[in-house]
Amino acid sequence: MLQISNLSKTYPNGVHALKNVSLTIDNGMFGLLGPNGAGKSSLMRTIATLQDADSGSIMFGDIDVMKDKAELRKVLGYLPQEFGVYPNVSAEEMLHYIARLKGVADGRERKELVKALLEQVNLYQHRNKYLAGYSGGMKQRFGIAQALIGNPKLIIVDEPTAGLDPAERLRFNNLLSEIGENIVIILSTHIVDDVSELCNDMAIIAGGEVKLKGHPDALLDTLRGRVWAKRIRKEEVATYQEQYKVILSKLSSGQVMVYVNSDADPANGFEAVKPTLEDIYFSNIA
Amino acid sequence: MFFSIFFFEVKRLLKTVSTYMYFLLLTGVTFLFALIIGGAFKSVKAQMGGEKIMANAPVLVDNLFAQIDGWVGAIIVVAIIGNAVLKDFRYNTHNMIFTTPVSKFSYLFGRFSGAVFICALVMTGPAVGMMLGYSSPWVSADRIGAFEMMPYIAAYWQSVLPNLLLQGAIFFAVSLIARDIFVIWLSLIIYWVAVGFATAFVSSLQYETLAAILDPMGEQAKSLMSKYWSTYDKNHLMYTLTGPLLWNRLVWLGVALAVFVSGYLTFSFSSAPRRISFRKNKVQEKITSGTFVKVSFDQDKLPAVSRSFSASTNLRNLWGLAVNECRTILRNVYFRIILCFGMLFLFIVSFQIGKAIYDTATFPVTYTVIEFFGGSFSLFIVILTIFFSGEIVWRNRENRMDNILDALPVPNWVFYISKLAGLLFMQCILIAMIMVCGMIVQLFRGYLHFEPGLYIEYLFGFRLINFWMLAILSVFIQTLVRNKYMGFVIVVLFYLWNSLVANLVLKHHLAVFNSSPGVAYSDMNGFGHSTFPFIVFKIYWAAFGLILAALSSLLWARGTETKLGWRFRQAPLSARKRSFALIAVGAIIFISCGSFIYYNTNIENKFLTEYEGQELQVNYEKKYKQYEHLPQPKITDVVVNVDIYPSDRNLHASGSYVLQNKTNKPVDAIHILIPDGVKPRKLILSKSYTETMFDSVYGYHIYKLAQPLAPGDTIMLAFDMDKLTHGFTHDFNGISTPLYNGTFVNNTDFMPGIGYNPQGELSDNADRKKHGLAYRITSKPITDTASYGNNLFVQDADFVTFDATVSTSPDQTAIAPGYLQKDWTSNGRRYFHYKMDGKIMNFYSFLSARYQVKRDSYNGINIEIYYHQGHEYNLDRMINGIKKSIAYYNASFSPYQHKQVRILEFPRYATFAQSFPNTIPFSEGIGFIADIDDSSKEDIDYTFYVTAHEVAHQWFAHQVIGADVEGSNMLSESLAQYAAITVMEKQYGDERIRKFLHIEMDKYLTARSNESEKERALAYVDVGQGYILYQKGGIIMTSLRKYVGEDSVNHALRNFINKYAFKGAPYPTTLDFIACLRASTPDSLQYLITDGFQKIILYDNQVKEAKTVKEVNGYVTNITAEIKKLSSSGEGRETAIACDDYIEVAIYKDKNTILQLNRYKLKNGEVKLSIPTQVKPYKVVIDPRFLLIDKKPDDNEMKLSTGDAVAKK
Repeated sequence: MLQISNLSKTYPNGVHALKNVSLTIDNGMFGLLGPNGAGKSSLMRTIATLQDADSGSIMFGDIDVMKDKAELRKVLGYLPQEFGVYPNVSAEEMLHYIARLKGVADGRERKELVKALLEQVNLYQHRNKYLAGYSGGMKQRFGIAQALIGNPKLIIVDEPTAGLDPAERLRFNNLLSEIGENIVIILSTHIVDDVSELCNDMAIIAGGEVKLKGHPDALLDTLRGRVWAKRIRKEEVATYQEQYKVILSKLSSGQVMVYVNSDADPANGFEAVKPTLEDIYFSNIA
Repeated sequence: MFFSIFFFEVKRLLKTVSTYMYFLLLTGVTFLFALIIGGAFKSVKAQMGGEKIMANAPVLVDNLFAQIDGWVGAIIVVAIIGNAVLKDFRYNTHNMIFTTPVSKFSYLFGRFSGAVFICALVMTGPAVGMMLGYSSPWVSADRIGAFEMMPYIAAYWQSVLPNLLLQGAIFFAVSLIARDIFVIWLSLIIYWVAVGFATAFVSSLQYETLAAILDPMGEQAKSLMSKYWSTYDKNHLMYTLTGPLLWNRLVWLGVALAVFVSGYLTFSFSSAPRRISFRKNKVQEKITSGTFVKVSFDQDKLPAVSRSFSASTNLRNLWGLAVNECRTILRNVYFRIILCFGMLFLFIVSFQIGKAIYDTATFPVTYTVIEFFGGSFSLFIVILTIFFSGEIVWRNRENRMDNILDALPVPNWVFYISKLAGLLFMQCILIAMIMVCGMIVQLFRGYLHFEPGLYIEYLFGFRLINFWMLAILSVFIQTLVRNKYMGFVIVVLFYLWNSLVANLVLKHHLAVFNSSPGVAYSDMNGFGHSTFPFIVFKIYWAAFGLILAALSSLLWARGTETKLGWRFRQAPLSARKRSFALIAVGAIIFISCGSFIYYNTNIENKFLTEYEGQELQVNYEKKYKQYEHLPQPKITDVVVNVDIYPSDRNLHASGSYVLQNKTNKPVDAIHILIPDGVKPRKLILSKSYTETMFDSVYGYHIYKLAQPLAPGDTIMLAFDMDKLTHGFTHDFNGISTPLYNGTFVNNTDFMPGIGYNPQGELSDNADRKKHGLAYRITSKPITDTASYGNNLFVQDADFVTFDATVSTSPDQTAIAPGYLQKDWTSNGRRYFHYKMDGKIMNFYSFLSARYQVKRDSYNGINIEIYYHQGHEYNLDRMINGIKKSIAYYNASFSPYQHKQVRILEFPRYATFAQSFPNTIPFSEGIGFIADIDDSSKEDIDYTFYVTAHEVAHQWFAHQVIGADVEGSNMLSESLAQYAAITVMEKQYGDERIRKFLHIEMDKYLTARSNESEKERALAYVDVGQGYILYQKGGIIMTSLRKYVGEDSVNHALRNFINKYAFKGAPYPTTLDFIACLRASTPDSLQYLITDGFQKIILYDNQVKEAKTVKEVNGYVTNITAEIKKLSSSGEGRETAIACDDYIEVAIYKDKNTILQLNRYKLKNGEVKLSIPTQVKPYKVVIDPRFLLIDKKPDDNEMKLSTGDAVAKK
């Protein structure tokens, strides 16, 4: 269990990245949803021992993450939001390298592990190719393979699907969904579907603060029967925004679909719609 | 469009802090140098080109300006210009820019010129630094001339800007072609190597013009231009864009343009980057479908692996990672390119190996190969080390691998040590490359005496550690800084400071990073006593390195936080503890080794900074100068027992002098001076006396006699001296001390002297001024007849009888002047008793080594060469030299006074040969390993030459010796030079002597240009002016021989010897010698003696035009020549004077053979000659035999073309 308490961080340039963030994260996949610049990566990096907070604490089981980074690193699997690769190193070599660094000292074991991992993430046939030539999806699969080395108890996956094409994203999410349920997995993303597809617990973070936390279904329940939609003309949007609590307005066949939050039927042509995580997301980050 | 890009670039750079940092850096560094050159630090002495040259003389302004910008500035050029376009690729803005309608021309030229413009501004830093430095109140006023703006402007236009354009064009073009910062750095390294490559050619006279054009920075061209400039010229003249410098600038600007154009042409907006990379292809994956596919992934199926984080795993990881690092470096394409390049460099420069003396090679013995390669290649290793340290530390961050790697459960030290290991390994490879290339070169030269053991010992034992320390330091600095370039700049600056300035400022090796007393290798003595102090010093510095390493590991950058405080805090407690423990261990070793060193260098031995040493001399003069003219008895008989203990490096001497009062006044006190570092155990006179003064600092004793010593009376001085070695000294001291093998000491090193010795005074007049002493004339004026009573060598004796018993360890042979009377072994020591039959100068040597002997004899004179086993190469040349010399000198001058000539090899700690009575110590560094190709017209048999010179000293020095006044050194050195050149000419012919004299002429002209005081005429030459004594003296005497005739000159010498040999006081002066010369010279040639000995005369002759016309029965060559005769003042101010001198003009048949040599009496100005020949002439040369000192020998000849037009008519 990961326990984040009152975490705050201000960067030297004045950006208040984390404001008193507290979260308790149990085993299973936890979705951390938030727009760009919400503080997701700062939080991820802080958990991954790459950065310190100004105040607050992170406990993972018995490990005080900020004090005992070395201990956490032993149980950590981390797929950073952005990572590069050496220009002329193959996937296999790189996995060997990381496996060694993760304490897999026995050469034979390491070899088997690397082979198995490559097979499982479907990269085995490309194992001798330089990583620099990998496509985005392959690179992310390589990333998850390296994160899985050494049976991590805590896996942090930071914006893994950003920039992937739909097919690659699908494959990647399939992969993620198979990762064991007895460990803590934190998936940070700005893509609502990722969370709805994969997570059984989530939080929405925006402006450095936790806006909402809970099981996606439970969160959906809070909006059930309160979301209404209507197709309008573009020039009407401003008027509607004044009159209603608009969660979201999006283009739809050249017109605009407005979604509003209302306890009662707003009438005026609105129809009730089933709430989605997207609605929750947008009603919380606004 | 061009202008908007240009201004955007300029504005962007002006908004960047680092631009200003670069400027301040250049300014600051130059400011510091300016202060040092300007004499701001009393105890730091740094001069460029001589004391009389002002710190802000145009040439020095140019040098400093151009060098700082050329070397330090090159890094800045890479950072600014190399990145001008590259940054668009790095930040992926290129896609945006390349899709705008901007033209390629505007884009590239805009970026380039903007960056060049900013660089040009930044590069004015050194000028500002110098101006500030030279106008600051700290510099000493007499080092600074009046301020002039012009030299700065000229240097900027001639040197700084062209270099900037060249560097900028290269790095810009490379950035366009390769689009990889790594390749740009590579090109910087190649650029630097090219500079080093050009310098490798310079030492050779025949390649100096080539070197001047090859050097991209133009420094060689400038030094070629100012090579013969006098001090006056250097203070007043500026470099002009003419000759080789102009060619150099044009050639390299052309290269710059070509490089730029090729970069421009290859660059295309649409093309993908052409990074040098092999087998990098996009990996294509088949996408099966967009619908849900159950992946085979099952975490449980992953094989179970054991993980361990124990220390032993860490160590194993470390090993694996280190191997990985090394492999990465080995596989690095750039590193391989650099290796090939380095090898190529080594092979190309290898032809210069051992060519230090007269352009003639030595055998490529292992130590010369190592020292030559090690010297030229070490800069290469240093650059690569600095460069790769940055790569290694920053690689993860630059490849954005840090996000993954930094979060892995690996302690910092594993990362740190593995990275460092890669770097150290790389250095090993480079060092091994020297070894491999060295042996290949030896093989190709046909030298098959391979010494792999010595290679390993010298390179890996004594060289590698220095590079390792640099690696640790630069990794440490890269760990601390937040920007790789800043790291590079700091390391480079530190390196420059440490290798150029730190020694001058900090004085003690203990305070100068990685410093040590140095290592000296000699075939005779191995690494000798330099090994132990080296090891101690390196342990000391390694301990310091350990501290740096512990800190680097502790502060290893991890994660995004850059603040050192955070890095320190985030380190686990255990790591902190471990680091502190290491630092403590390091500190303990550092301090204890340091104390041990201090004890050795400063307590067991005397350590004096240069300034303190001078102060000691100053006080000596102040205290005792009063006794200089006090009448003192002279030594007449010497009996001495010298015991040499090679393994302890101790020496013990006991013996006695007979002193005779040769003055006409009674002597009431005897002043005895003990050499420095010698402890007298006994020092007693045979008649009753009291010690009235003893000064232990200077070893000055005054014994007051109970009864004054009457004129003519004698007294005996018995002495017993210890010269012991205690521990080690601050600086390596090889010569004049007992050695394990190859001891070479002379009597002034350990035997007492009588009376005040003015040689102990501070002689350099600039230093004297600093210490508030009056100007000192280094030699006494020739008019000081009182000094005629003393000879040049020693003032405490005339000719003496000599008897010496020398003992040494049983495996060695000990030698002193005289004839061996007896040798025996007792108490496990070998004894040799030598006795001289005639009287000798009171100047003798003692040598001891494990010698081999080669014997021969000539006309009843026995010849012995004592040499080190393995150095047999040139023994026959030496013997031949001795025979030919004795034959010629006996016939021409006077009979040889001894029955024996011995040559004794001594270690190459000093490279000279010296003549003692019947004994010639000869350094292993000159002649013993010379590889002379007799079939080559270029090689000069300097073994023969040095031998002939030293044998001649048995006449000129040991038969006849000059009085202790100015000019007298000429009587030994110039005359020995004359004798040697004559014998050499007889052996090797005219042509070889021409080459020899050409080199001598060049040496003379170069040295006079660096004269720090005043050049003197030959007859009044100062003892320190070797270039006049040897080079000018040899040329003038040879010229006299050719003009006046060999018989006449030898006749004069014979008369001179007859008159003065073995006569004792009063000793002759150059005036006496010149009188003898004049007596055998016809009136018409008397001017040669006046010009040669009593004035400084130079010629600047030139062939203006020459053409050959074919006539009916042969050829006629018409020559127009310009004759110019100059008289120079001591400061080098030259004025043209009237000429009506005999000048030779030769017509050559081919490149080297003189067809016809005519002597003309020529007046100054333009002269026309026409010379008929039978054979078709090749070239015409004025003064082909180098008999006149010509300022520009190069323009004295012209190749002839036959006028075909005339023939057709």
